[in-house]
Amino acid sequence: MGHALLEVTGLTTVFDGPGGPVTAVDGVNLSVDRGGVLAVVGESGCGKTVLSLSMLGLVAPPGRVTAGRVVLSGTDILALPESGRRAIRGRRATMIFQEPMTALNPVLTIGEQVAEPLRVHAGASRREALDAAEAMLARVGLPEPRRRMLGYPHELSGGQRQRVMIAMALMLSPELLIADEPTTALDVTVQGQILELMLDLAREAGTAILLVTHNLGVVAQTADAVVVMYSGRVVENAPVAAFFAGPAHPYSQGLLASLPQVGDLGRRLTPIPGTVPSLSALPTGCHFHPRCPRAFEPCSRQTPPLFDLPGGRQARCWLHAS
Amino acid sequence: MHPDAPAATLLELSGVARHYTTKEGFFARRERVVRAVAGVDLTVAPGETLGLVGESGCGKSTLARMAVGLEPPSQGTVRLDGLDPWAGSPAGRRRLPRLVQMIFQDPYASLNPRLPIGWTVAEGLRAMGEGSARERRARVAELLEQVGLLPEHAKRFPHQFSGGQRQRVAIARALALSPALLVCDEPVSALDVSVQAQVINLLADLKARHGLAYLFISHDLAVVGHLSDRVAVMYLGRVMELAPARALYAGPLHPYTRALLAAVPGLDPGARRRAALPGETPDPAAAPSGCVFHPRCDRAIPACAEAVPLLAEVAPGHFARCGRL
Repeated sequence: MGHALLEVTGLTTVFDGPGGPVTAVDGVNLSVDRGGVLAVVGESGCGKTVLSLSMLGLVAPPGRVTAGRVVLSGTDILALPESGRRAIRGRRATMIFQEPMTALNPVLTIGEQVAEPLRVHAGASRREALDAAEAMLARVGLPEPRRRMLGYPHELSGGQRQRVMIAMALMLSPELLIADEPTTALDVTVQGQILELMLDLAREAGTAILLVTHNLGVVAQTADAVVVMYSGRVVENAPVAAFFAGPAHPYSQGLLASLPQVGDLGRRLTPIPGTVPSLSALPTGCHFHPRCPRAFEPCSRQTPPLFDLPGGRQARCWLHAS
Repeated sequence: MHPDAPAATLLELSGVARHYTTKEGFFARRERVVRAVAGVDLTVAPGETLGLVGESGCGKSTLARMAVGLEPPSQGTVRLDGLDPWAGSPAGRRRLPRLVQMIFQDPYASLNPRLPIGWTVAEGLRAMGEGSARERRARVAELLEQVGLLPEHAKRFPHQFSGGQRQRVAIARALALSPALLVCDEPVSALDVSVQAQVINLLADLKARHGLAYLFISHDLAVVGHLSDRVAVMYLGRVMELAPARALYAGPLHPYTRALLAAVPGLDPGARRRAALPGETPDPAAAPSGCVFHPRCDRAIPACAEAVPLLAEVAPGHFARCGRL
């Protein structure tokens, strides 16, 4: 991993609750290549969103990062003071979210918001920043950008708001874009447009993407590599082609088998039995063992490590010990 | 509307439209008419599953509410086993709960958080005066088992269940009066993938066991294809295509259906696709002239902006609303 842009090691985030601390992110390691696209996939409660917030120092109390390093081309983000982290977030590592309406300021014009990163982090004048913002809004395909710049977020559709978010996030050609479920709230035909736009612009700017999603189709269509999370832990890490050709962890296999696909009509689905465990009552050993069709003797006693497999893959499963 | 419609029709929507008037502008002096549903003809036969797909704003949820008699159509008629919920006697309307029930996307919002779920499941039975308290308890136990829960769960409250289990509770409640038709509005959209498959299988099992008919509404084409015998595709309040599921997925005819299918991200990283459709769905209050899809359609010709196409039978049982077919 000599050319990794982002190296996350041992990242652990806990939430202090009335019943004691709960571990939402449990010793996560991952790396994103320069200009690459890494997808972090998992179901609700697996810790994928807390992970992405933790990486940029955005976890708010009662959550706190208790261990780990997040190194962005030589800079350990979590070791920086808040002012330093803010500078990183404005310029080198930006973020977009599922619901752009909550990330946009409802009382500022769109033009001012898109121009802001340039003024705050690149020292541009108001005029320069607004001109650049207009050019960027045109580039992200916002119709009539000059007129829209004077408008407010509520006047835009969901897809248009996400275009504005992408414009803001990529305005300064960051090294890394963290996109947390960026198309989950959008219709399927708009989803394709937004993903394509995000990938095209990131490629032009040399920006790497860490894409957080629950949608395996989106992973297959966009990512170079995939990290699967379950109950706070990474359970599999693989190049995307190898993953879809045959996932190594029983949980990943279960996810793919339970997914209805367009075209195979009426095939009986194979669900994963049971439900995702609560973080405050996690099973011992491998967190997945009570739902795993292939669980055997060591699974309930001992947490498996991430075993290295051929082809640059890893899986946290005792089936791969030996 | 259709006096000689076959008796085998359980749900019949004839020319159904639903308009909303909104006021806006200074002192709300400007009125706008939003045609959420703009003239839909659909039928569901006993034991049949009709899938209804479309993106947000296509009118599918409004159609669902009209199909269960929660909302009156502005035009056209809704008939459930021949009964028009908005005409005739209140006594006739009391037949409705035994004909049709509905389940929603968010079971948490449709279950009373302060009541044990057994009480909620028995609600319809009580309202219809069915059985003694003891008989109702036995029926609740039986219903909970049918949906994969345990009889002792009846005493628990909604917050003690996971999302998938809550949807099972909602299904149990809907089945209490043994309706012939279940209208499901995005029933698995809020569930995680691994749990979604459990609920889809449950719905398939219930259909096989009880001969239930479904009007199954979803934005997810894969889920709809899985459960449906026939599928209707809606766009801006209109049915654009209607066909047996196999025909629709194997040979979609309408350009919108084709674009929708092409937009579903597939699981093969070796076959990456470019976005299939430009633009976004227009505001239903300002629907385009002619064919409402023409501004986004890659096959549109000038005539498409003029003439309103009809839903025409292009192949046996396969209907499409496109002037170019």
